[in-house]
Amino acid sequence: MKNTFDELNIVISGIGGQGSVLCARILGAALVSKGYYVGMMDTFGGAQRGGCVNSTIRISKSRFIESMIPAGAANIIVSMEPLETLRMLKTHGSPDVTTLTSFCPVLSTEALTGVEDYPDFDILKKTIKDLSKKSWFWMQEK
Amino acid sequence: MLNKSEDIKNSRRLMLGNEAIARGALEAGVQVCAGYPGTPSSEIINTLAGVAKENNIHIEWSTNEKVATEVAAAAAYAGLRSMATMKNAGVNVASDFLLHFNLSGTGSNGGGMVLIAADDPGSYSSGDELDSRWLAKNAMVPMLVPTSVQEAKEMVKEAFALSEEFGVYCVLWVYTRICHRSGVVSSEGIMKSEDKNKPSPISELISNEDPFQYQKISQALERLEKIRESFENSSFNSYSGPENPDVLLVSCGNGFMCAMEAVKLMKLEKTVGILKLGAVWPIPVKFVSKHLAKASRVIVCEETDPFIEIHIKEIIADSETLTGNVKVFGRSTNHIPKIGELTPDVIGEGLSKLLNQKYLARDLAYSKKIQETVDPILINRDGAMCPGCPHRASFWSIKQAIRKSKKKNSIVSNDIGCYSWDMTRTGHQLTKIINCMGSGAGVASGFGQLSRFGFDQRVISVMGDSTFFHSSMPAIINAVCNGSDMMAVVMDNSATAMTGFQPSPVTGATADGTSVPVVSIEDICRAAGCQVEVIDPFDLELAIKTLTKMIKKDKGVRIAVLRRTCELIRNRKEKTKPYNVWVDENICKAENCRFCMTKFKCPSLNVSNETGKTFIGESCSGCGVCVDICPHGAIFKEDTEA
Repeated sequence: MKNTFDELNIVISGIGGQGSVLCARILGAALVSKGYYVGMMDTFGGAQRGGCVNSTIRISKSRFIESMIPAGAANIIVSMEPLETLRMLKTHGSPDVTTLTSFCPVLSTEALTGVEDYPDFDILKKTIKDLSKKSWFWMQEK
Repeated sequence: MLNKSEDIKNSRRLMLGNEAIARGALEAGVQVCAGYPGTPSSEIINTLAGVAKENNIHIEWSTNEKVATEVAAAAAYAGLRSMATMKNAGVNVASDFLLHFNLSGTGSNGGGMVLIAADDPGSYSSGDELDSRWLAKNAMVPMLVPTSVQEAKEMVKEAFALSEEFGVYCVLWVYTRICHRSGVVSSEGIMKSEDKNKPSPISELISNEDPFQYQKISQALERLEKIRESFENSSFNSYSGPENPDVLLVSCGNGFMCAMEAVKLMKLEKTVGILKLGAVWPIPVKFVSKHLAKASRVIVCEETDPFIEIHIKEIIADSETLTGNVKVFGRSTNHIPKIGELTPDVIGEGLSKLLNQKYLARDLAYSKKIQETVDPILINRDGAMCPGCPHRASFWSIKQAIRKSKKKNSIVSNDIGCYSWDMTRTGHQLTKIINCMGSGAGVASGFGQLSRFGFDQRVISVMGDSTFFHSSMPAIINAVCNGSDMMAVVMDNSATAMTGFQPSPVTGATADGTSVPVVSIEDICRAAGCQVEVIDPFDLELAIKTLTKMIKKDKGVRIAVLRRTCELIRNRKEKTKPYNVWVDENICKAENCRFCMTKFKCPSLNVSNETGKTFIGESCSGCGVCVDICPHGAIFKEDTEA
């Protein structure tokens, strides 16, 4: 769905403990100090490490904006973990989305214990690419 | 973000909903604040605790929510302003008091008391979607519901005013999507101490008990009507849209913003009018009726129960002009799903069903691509214990002890906390029973009576230190005084960890950091007549030996306190890694074994893509426990330099 009003929607996601929520707060506070309207939503579970975490930031020059992002309305997805990029693309992606991924896979405990399969890294990267208008990757050094 | 009390007056700041509530309390001159940690409410007290001393506020994490509301009530009785915060489940714990205190009232010199009831639509941090709004109805007390972060702050102040005007606590109902939302807030000045309420002694009987109860009930009913009258003109209730809409959308809380978004996306501004209810209970009948008369169809968007929906149907049924002329849609008609939180898309789907107009959230081809390429490979991340968590070692020891004691079908009756993660695929799944705070022990004390019926399965109760004090103690004493054969493990990590590391009675510090005596779990259990052992869970050998002995004993009330500080707290405080841990690849049996990761399940035990052997990942906390787990002795540890 094309955005019909002045706004920028950014999703920042990662794994609990990486600082994605803090990152979003800093960005949001910086924008507010410059006079923008900002609305942010943090989604996380318990205080443990390793769970899915994401913050959605809506930014507008002219209008008060605090509601949740509708499906497919993210302009930019920044993610500290590739599987989380995929998770955000599922709910917030669209043909116009730009993704920035820190390609440092963190296997879930289910994947580590063999209960589930973490996606093949090349397939993961390709899927993210195919679902983004533009995709940028920071690749982990071996 | 909110770490300075005064200097943000007259400024625009990005604030978390919970921070805005804390700010509102400061601007309203709150003097006492008590609560129990519970997502999504915890940040309110976390925030206020940082500025409590300089603002002369008594702030505490109480042992449970019932006590928290009683502590806040004391302040209100004494003429001071108080606030109690808790999540939805906590409101249930406090409800016995709340449903008596509402009738007693705060007395003729009572100060204002605000109850923050924080719900979790969508169950992001609860095992349910309990809707606390019913409490306001049951208690006949006023309730406000915010739709924006700024409004949350304003409503705190109004809630205090309402409470003082009507002599009873006022509920501010909040939810994850406002507590953990951040928005721009304009702040006013924090109330100066000379302007705050002064205490006044109590000289009258403030009670609902006999012989005054009927008088108190009829007073409460009369009071409710007075509040309703004042809500008819509340600025928190408003309408926006055409004079004669095709559909009236009635919204509350998160539903309002989501509805505004959906209506805008579907370009329905000319056909759908939105009624926003913020002064929600007692429901302002005249105000709502006036708007119900505008349209023949009403759709209600609220979380989580059809609370307003049901009362709107009641209003229509009671009205001669509205009956038969207005049809109500919402959760009861499945236009809004019965389960789950509201989003702009959920409301969009509901409106599309009602108006026979397609709602296309995004490009159809893209959605199809997601279904075909993402769904097959996207895996979840179940909740799990952190690397270095003492509970992982504790459950490991319980598992080995069950095996060694030959009581192979033994199960765990678990409780609420980080140890709950035993029940997921990332844990050992010894847990077969889990409900609410303190229930693990209560249920286990019941199981300990069933051998006379031939029930021979051993049920081990597991709880944390905070939970022990919250509501497990009565159950443990019940086991003693009713002769139950019960075994319990208290996993004492010195905190209420899952909700954000708040102090518990074993931490030795209050919410604002004041030192207080540590309360000893083992002394209490011993005084109650239990057999008690205190062990370090990282000493696997001793833990397994002790637990095995306890399980085998079978009789009496046996408590094992497995004590070690939560790893995240320890690391934050000490900033050290006790050991460097590594795997010797020459010894590791790789895919012919995989014991460490499939049985111990620490997230730091990873598989190398190149060699296929186990390696210790970056997330390792250096606890060294896995050294004792590897059946081949392939894992090693060495002391790090302190």
